[in-house]
Amino acid sequence: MKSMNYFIIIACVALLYSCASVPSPELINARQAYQQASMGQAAQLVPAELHKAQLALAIAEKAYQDDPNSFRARDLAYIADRKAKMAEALATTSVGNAATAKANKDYQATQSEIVKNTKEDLATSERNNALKTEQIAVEKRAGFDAEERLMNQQADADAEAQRVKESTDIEARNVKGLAEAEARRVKSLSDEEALRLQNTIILLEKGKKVVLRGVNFETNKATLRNESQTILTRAYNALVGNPNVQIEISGHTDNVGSRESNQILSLRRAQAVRNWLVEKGITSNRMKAVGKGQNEPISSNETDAGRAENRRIEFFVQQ
Amino acid sequence: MKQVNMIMLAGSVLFAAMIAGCGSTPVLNKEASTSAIRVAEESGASTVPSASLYLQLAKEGLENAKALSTRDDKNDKERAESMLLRAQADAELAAALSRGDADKKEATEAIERVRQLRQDNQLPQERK
Repeated sequence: MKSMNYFIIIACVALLYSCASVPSPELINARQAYQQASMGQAAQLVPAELHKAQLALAIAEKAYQDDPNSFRARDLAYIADRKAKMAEALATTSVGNAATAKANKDYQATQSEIVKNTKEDLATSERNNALKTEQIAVEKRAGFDAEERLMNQQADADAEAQRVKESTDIEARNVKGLAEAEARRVKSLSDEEALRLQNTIILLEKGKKVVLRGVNFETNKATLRNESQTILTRAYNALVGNPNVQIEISGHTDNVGSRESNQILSLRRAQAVRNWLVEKGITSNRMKAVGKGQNEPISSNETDAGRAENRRIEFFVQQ
Repeated sequence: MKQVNMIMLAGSVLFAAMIAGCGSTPVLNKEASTSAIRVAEESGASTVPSASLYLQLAKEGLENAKALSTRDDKNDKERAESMLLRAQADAELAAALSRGDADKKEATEAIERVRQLRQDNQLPQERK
């Protein structure tokens, strides 16, 4: 019985001791809060605040050791808990501030990037506009050049037409003069000489050329003048007298006028002679008409007389 | 006459001692906690869920301290002082949480502004 009483007394003392050693809820919370804060970002971001919390917890612990059940120990633990939470809250604030600062910096960088891009776009646009303007100017200049060329060509054509007109007038005057001279010459011949001239035979030898002097045309045309009948009649007689002969009738001009127009005119005149002979009865396949233009002059084109000689019809005996 | 003067002197000394005794009575210093509560309210703690609880605790602590300070018990006055410290700690925490919430919102808005700006100008979003 006595030992039983001792046991009860010892148990009560142990129970009281164990009750006294259990920390208050405030102190438990303070310890947990400090542990959480010290393991979080507070240690790096707000070390001073964390240190304050540590000091507050140390004071609370001491107060608890001095008097575990005192209101002062509980209140100090309460305050230590709040200090730890405060450190954590300030760490969160610091993170937010850093994020805001970074975002603001990013915003400014983005604005700078936009300005840079805009400037580049503007520069590109200006370059394109400049190129476009230059291209338009080039096209416009090309248009002006083409127009100028056209005007020059027109002026050249007018000048050429004027020159051709003048040359044909000169030619006409020359032809008229020659005809008149021929007429005068023929008229001055005696009847005997005239008869001899009429009967002169044109010799057609293979490989030789014969100039039919006296074959004249209307100015700048392929129309035979009446005075050409004499020489053409002689040519006809020669062909009739040599039925096996084949000839090439070639037309020639002086160098007045364009080369192309002279080429065409010479051909048409040669064809006119050929047609005349065909109408008279010469077989067409015995004759070939060609235009030589101004390519084969036989005299100088510098003088009226030379040009008159160059304007001619030739027979070339091919066979 | 001389005796009367001595009595008056003694009375004056006694009166002065009484006045001095009244002046040494501990006065509750609520300034710090009251100021902390005002700062918390101005920072918008009452509208921030995580902060409003601590603001409420601070206010209650202040009221309890006031109530305790009216009692004559010296022990109660000490408890009132301690209660004021608790209220101050609560109020400061409420203000800090309120500011943290505002800073977090501001950061979110700043990040959103950047994102929107880049989107409006057809720029690639930066990696996080």
